Amino acid sequence: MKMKTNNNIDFISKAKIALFLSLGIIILGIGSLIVNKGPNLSIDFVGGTVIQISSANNIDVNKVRDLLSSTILDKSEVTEITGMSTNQQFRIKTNLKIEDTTEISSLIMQSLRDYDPEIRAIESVGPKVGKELQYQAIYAIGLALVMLMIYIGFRFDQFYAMGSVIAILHDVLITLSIFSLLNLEINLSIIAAFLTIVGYSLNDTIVIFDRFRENTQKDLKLSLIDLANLSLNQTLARTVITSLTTLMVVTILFFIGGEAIKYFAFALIIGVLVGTYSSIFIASPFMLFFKSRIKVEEE
Amino acid sequence: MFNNFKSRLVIILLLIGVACYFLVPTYNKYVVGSEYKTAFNSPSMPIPIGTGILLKSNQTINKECLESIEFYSDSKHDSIEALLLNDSKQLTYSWGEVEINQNNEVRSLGCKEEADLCLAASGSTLYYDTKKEILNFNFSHDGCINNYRAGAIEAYNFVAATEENIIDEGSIKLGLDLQGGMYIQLELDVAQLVLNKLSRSESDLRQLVYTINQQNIDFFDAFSDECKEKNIRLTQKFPQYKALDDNEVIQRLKADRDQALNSAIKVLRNRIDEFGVSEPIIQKFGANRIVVELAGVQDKDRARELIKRTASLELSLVLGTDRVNNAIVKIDKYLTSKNINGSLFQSYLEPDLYELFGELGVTNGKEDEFEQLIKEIESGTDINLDGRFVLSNELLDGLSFPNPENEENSISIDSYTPVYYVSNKPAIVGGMVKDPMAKIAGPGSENSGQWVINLSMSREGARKWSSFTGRNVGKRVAIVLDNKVFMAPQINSQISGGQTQISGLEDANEAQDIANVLSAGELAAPVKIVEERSVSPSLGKDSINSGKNALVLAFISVLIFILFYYKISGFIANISLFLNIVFILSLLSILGATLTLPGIAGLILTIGIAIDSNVIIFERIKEEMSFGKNATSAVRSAYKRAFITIMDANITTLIAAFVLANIGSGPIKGFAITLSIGIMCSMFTAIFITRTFYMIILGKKNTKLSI
Repeated sequence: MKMKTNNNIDFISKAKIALFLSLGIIILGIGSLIVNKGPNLSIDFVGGTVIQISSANNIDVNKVRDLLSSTILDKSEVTEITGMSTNQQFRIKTNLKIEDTTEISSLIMQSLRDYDPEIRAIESVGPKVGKELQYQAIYAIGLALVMLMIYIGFRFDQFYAMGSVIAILHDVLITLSIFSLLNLEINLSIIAAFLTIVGYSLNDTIVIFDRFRENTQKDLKLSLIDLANLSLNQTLARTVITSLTTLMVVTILFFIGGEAIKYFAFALIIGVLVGTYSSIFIASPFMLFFKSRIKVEEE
Repeated sequence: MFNNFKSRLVIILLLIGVACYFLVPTYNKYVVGSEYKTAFNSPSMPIPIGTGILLKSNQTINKECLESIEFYSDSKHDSIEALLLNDSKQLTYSWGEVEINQNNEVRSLGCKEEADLCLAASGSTLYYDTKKEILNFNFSHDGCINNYRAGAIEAYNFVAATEENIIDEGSIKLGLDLQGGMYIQLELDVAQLVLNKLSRSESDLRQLVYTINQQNIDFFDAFSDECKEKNIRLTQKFPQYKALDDNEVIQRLKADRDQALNSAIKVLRNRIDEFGVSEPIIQKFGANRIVVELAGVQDKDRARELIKRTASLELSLVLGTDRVNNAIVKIDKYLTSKNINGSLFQSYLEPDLYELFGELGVTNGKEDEFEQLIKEIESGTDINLDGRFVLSNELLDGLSFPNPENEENSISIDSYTPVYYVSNKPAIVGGMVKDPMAKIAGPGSENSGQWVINLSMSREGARKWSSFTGRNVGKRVAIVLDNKVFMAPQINSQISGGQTQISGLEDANEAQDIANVLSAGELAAPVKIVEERSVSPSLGKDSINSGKNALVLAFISVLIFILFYYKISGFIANISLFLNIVFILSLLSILGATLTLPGIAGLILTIGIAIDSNVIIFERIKEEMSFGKNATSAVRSAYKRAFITIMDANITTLIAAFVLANIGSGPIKGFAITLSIGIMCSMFTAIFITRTFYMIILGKKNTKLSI
């Protein structure tokens, strides 16, 4: 198995198609965000109680709903989850107050008493803490973006920084869009995944930028676009192999890593794919765009 | 530097040695395990005759493992081996047969007659049956792998602790999401603290404090701003501070809050120590929060209720009917004038109950609304009441009886919660009681066979109690705990000596928990839970298994892929990847880090990312060789060029990970920490270690490179 090392693919000319594709997904995503009235935020950010139970006896998810609906839990969402355990597991999301956690758990135990229930996990967040966590998440993403921009601006120059920040924003927007289109919940661990995606995507971008910088210093008598294509081709094998190994591990994590981090792993899968794609089709073309546009104006 | 591969090899071997050395405690803890002991501690209260103890472990209790049980007394004088009875004789024990009743409780059967203590074990439950009163006990056993981490132990009439008598230092700890446990974030009710400092006559300011607290904002900032705007002079409102200006008052209030928070931490620690959880974490979080982490706790509802209690105790006179009438009229007049809530105070109370028996009661289901109303009335109105309405802790069944006036109709009263109108001036407060003790009331007493709490009083308390009871013979006194009336007995005669008793307790757990909170002391202000995350040990175990499987599978897949693609060079990369994992685990051990499920995810992700540095180098070597360079010089220039790329690329992921480490709760932090450590280790293994291997391989000239 060998990958051709002397490819000559014209990536930059395909940037326009890529841009339309990305914009399409982002517009769809924003559309769905508007329709859904904002992202589907978990109790981490809006407050509420989620209780995870398991039952050793066979019970249908509708039966669980029926049994719970006779109590104050009638407005709760019940979903069945598949895990490693042989017992059936359900996730009950209620918007009851955190003060009532004891009452909620005893009501669940009482309603399902014929099915040998066990409370496996309780997550309860008060509205105040939810708001704080929302603020923290936004702050963290903002802080990470600023710090990364400063680092790249410092190590390279402002054009590289602008190109990479557009790529990062692109990655986060696409992941957010896909989460919104699939109506998946955004919780604290998804925010962690976003930040990891940012780090990973930049990692990819920098390897390419680094090669581009090296090539520009070589006096190869090529146009910027040709230099960019050359750099992308030279680093292509590395880009593909690293993406494959990373994709492999996050896919494994998604399938057998356990229920608690399933969607975290899912976000990472999207992130690895999108991050790889953006470092080729978004970061480099934008960097070139800023470089040529602004350089020309200066002259 | 280090151009000589021998010196490099020495460094690598040295580092591997150091890493392995630091991994020993972790290896022992999770792989060997048998060196560890478990001890169950009883709280310092006697176990009554015949009640027995039920210890539940989350691991299978093996009879063989328990044969080495040793009992210790934990008396105040010294530690003496062997279980002590009241008469200081050693207690003998024997094994008995087991019976499991409908409630899944294990009881012992067929206890040998001569044994004073009978033990029976079934699955994860160990049952003790005593024929004598045990004062204290504390048992430990060792040498049994099955029990080395018994986790939470739930007792029949109290919770005993497991204490891992092991040197836990220097080993990787499991997060609450993996070992099961409870994370609780508590917030001190700052508004209540301020209200306690304010005179009751300051009704407008009290109302302001109440409204500011309803909004979710930083209390002191908002309070200070509002007061400035409304031109309220805080120096006059809080004369006890003798402050020079309003800012100083705010500072003093903040200082009081800090003090309240610190004392709350102390009180919570005392309570939790009695509850018996191993290595609880109780720490300050921000300006007015406390984080409590309880590993392996089983009865989460009980732990939660125990932590939430304010433990404010008051013994106050129940005021008579004429005073109640007076208060109701006053309140209703106020409610009509302000048009608050739309309905009158009276409408909450059961009319028949009041009319026929002169008793107050709130219909079942309306209690929360009622309490809200009382709080509002109390926090700020200009009604001058001589008492306050307090709900009972128990719900009474509805009644139905023939109407004495019209025998054809029967009167029925729905189930209700009694309400008492108690004096604002308590006769006895929490600070005056001491030595609370939960026990089953002995035969002959009024509450025979029920759980009660006996209290004695300080000298001051006893004197007050004596004169109070003397003055009020024939009247009722309410025992108010955490703003709930537990009982309101009639005073039959003057009580001297300061003894009193609380009854009306639901079960043994409640009795013991209340005795516990009373002896641990009162919180200066109530706390409320603002965040809770708990995981059962069984889910934790599942998470460990899935994490472990994912880690192993991810590792093997990457190894195979890289070996297949890069041949011998791939093998080198794989060795460095393996060493990378060893170094990461070792660093986690040295730092005493906590491994969470996201932490394992971080480790798995690191496997994927760590190989990247090698991929960058290998692709570069290929490229250099395609320019016609020989292996040695291709390797040399590839490492040189790739170094900067690797640094730049990894530092970005590190920046993201560092930001992550500073937000969010434990699990996310765990992810960020393993990811950062992983990246740093991978830079070292990928650059330094693989280079050394190349030096060894390429030592002879003209060697062909398999890549």
